[in-house]
Amino acid sequence: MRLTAQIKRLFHNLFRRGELESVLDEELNTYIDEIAARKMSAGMAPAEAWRQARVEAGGVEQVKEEVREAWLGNTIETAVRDLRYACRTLRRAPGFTAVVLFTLALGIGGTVTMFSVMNAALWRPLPYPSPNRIVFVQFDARGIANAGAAPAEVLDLQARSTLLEHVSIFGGADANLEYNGEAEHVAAASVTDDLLPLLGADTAFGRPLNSRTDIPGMVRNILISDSLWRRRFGADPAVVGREVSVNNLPMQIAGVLRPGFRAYLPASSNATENVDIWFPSGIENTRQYRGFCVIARLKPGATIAQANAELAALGADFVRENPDIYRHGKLRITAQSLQGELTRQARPALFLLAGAVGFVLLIACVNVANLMLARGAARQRELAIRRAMGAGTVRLVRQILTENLVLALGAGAVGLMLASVSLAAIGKLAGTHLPMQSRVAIDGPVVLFAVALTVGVTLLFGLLPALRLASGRVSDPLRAGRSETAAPGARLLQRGLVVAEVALSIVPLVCCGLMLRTFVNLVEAPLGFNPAGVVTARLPLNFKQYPKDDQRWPVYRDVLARLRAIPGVDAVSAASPLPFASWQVLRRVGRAEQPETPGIVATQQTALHGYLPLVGTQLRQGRDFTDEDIIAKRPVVIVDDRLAHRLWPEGALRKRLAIGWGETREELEIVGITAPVRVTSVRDEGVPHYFVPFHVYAIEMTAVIKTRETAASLAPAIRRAVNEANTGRAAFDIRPMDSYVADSIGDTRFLLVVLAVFAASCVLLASVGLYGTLAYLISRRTREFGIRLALGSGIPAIVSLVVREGALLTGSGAVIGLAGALAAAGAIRQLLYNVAPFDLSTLLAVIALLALVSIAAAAVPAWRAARIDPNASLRCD
Amino acid sequence: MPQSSAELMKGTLDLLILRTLDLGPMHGSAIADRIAQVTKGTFQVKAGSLFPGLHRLEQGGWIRGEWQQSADARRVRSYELTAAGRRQLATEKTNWKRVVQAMDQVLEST
Repeated sequence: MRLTAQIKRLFHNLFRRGELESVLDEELNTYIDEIAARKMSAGMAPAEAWRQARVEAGGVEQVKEEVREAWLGNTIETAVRDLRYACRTLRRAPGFTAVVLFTLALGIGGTVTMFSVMNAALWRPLPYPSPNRIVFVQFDARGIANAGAAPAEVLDLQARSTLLEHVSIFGGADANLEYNGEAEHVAAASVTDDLLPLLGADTAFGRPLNSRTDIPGMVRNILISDSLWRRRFGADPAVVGREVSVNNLPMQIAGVLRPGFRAYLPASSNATENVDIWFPSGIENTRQYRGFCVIARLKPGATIAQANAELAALGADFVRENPDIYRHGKLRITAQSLQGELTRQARPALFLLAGAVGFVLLIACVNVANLMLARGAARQRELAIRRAMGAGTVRLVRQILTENLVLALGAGAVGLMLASVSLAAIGKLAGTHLPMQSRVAIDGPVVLFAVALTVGVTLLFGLLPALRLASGRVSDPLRAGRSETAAPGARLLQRGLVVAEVALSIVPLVCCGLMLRTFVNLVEAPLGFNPAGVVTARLPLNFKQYPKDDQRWPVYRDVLARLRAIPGVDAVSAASPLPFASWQVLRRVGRAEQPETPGIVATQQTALHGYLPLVGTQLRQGRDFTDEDIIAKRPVVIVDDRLAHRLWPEGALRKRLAIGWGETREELEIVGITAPVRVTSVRDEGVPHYFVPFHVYAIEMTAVIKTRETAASLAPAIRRAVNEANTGRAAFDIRPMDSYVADSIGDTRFLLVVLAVFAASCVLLASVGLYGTLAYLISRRTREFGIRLALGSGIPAIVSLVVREGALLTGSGAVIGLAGALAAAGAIRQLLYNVAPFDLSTLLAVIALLALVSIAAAAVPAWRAARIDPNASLRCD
Repeated sequence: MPQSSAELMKGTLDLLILRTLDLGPMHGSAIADRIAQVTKGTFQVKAGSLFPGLHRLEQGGWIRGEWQQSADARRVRSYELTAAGRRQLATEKTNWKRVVQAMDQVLEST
């Protein structure tokens, strides 16, 4: 009976019950009438005839009840029976059930995890009004990509662009909030008036930011986040207009943002997702400095391509109008969607992981297909017997269907649990390296997709044996049991599947191997400094209290002296910014005697006396800075080897280095040359570095403390010392220096760990598949081996037969897989560091690993084959 | 008589009904009579198994019931085989023969 007809009947039975009942009533009545009439015509008294007719019928109500059961019997009852039977058969094969559940759960769990991450990070639109019209405007200037905008350029864009509106700037900042005598370090952002409306961040109450009311000297207005309002102000609506102290400046709370607003802004802005304080920012009319992040909204009808054309033209105009300012290198302004910019960096890694998880899912499916085939073959006889006993094809197919559905849904449930656990783990592991990580949650459509796929695979391969049976003669499998050879077709398919599994598992393995080498290379990369045993603490100064550079230096000297006195501290110095801190100073530098030659881009760090030896930066020539340099305001600089060689191949000591930023230009004498130092990222080898003394670039410093103590144990003493030195602000970010290094390679570590998990899953699944197939094939050949043994074949010959089979499967899989792996390795080239995509040692290691795994997988079946008792094997069925 | 009638094996009733209806449309008691007549009283099909059997076969789509006038002008529910029923009859017949053969071989082997 066809399924549609069956469903129609089920509905008929359930919903047109009244009609059926009356049919039954009448039918039974006529039956009894007829019997009674027959008895009466035989001469029985009417009353007695009726009574006997009823008795013979066996009770009208009982008959009705049984008929009702027949109505239901074909549908619900069978389903329940199938379900019960399915659970029973699965329980009877715990090994098979466990392996299938585990395999599918791994596939589903991995896929759901990865694609939930990708959907949150890459594809789900930003939670802002018409998010695809919000663009990030990138400024490439002085040969530096994404150098940020100069303030006057933003003003010009606001005035002249016909396609962009709400051109806004923003920048992340740290804020020291003081209220009710309690200080707290919170994340802040300084933004122009348009930014929050652009992102749809309305105020819950109070008024929006308005920089025009912020006349210098007056109290500034700020907006606070909903969470800060609840945390610090007890959700008091009267908070509007209240004065608080932020960074030692009096500020007035203008309003509170609506709850749940998160700022998804490019990392280059230094802003975090949870900004607690929003400062209004005006825009100065100057091109002297740059570094502002700009976002804007496309006007209705405008496209990004049109906006880019306009921006290119405007950039050219700026250069033409201000030839002095833009004399070193061109200005290039481009726009792209904000979401694209947010996800740009993470995209290659996420696609690699998604690819790897795709392989896990594929292998899981192949594995299950294989197991299903093996089990189906083993069950041929059971099915044949059931069929001989009268079970219809539909009935058998439906029962197998139920069994597989139970498996797939069970696996789906386990897989989802796995996914929620691994999402939590990824959350911890990824740290800040995943864009929009707070949005990551198990994703409905992905769950549906993964479960549908696995259900499809289990059903397809689960049903194959049943369908094969339906088409064949009933007695074939019954007889096949005796002659004991599986159909050659099935064996070929199974071998093919194992080869596919091995091939599929090689690709993620090779990628993982390459990433591992990359990570090792990153860890061992010569940074030019040694962060071990160094604790750092950021030391903000109250700039209102110490407005002049000259005043700040003695304060820092005092702080460092107090830190030096802490027990357990070996040496103390300070520098800023620290290597791999999120904010770095990039400058264009050149030879002082060649003002017309465009210089080279280098990173700059302000360092105090003693910093270089403390962090182990090797001074190859010349001397360190001294306190006298600062006191005497000597124009000195220390450069690294790379900078020295690029500008003065003949020797750089005592030469004059020109540092130009904006229109100002400083000339400094090189007094020292160090080993190459990397500060932007571990991978970034190309950018040279130089150090300037405090008086050349007096910024907020970070203390570096050589100690055997941990950051946590030293923190209270550091805070106390800084407090006693009367800096006006508290020390913060007290953490080991190597945490900056670890953070800077955190994205690679994240990628590596997740990839390793996926690759391990692939290998595990492939080895389970290999083992299962070998074990199955051998169990089918028990009789053959028995005959061989009986005829005098030695055990080694049998073992080698099995091992050869395993080696053949692994070998052919490996050859196919390596071809795929080479293609994949080429695709992930940009994620690698100091490793060629075709890295021979990685390939060899992967092959060795696979060989090991396949030997292990073949060992047990081979051992079992060797222990076959010829006598027993010939008798067993 | 009921004592001497054979226990019907599960599943054989369906085969009996299908085979009987293969001769032509019939109503409930006529089917029971016909079976009793052909088997010379060996199989006495009672209402308690006849009607559930009929309805089960109808649910399965193998037979179709319709109200008709009987020979003595009473309204009876008459059943006839469907095309699927005919096919089912053929399969069940083959199966049955195989079982009987097998049983014979078992019972008569020495």
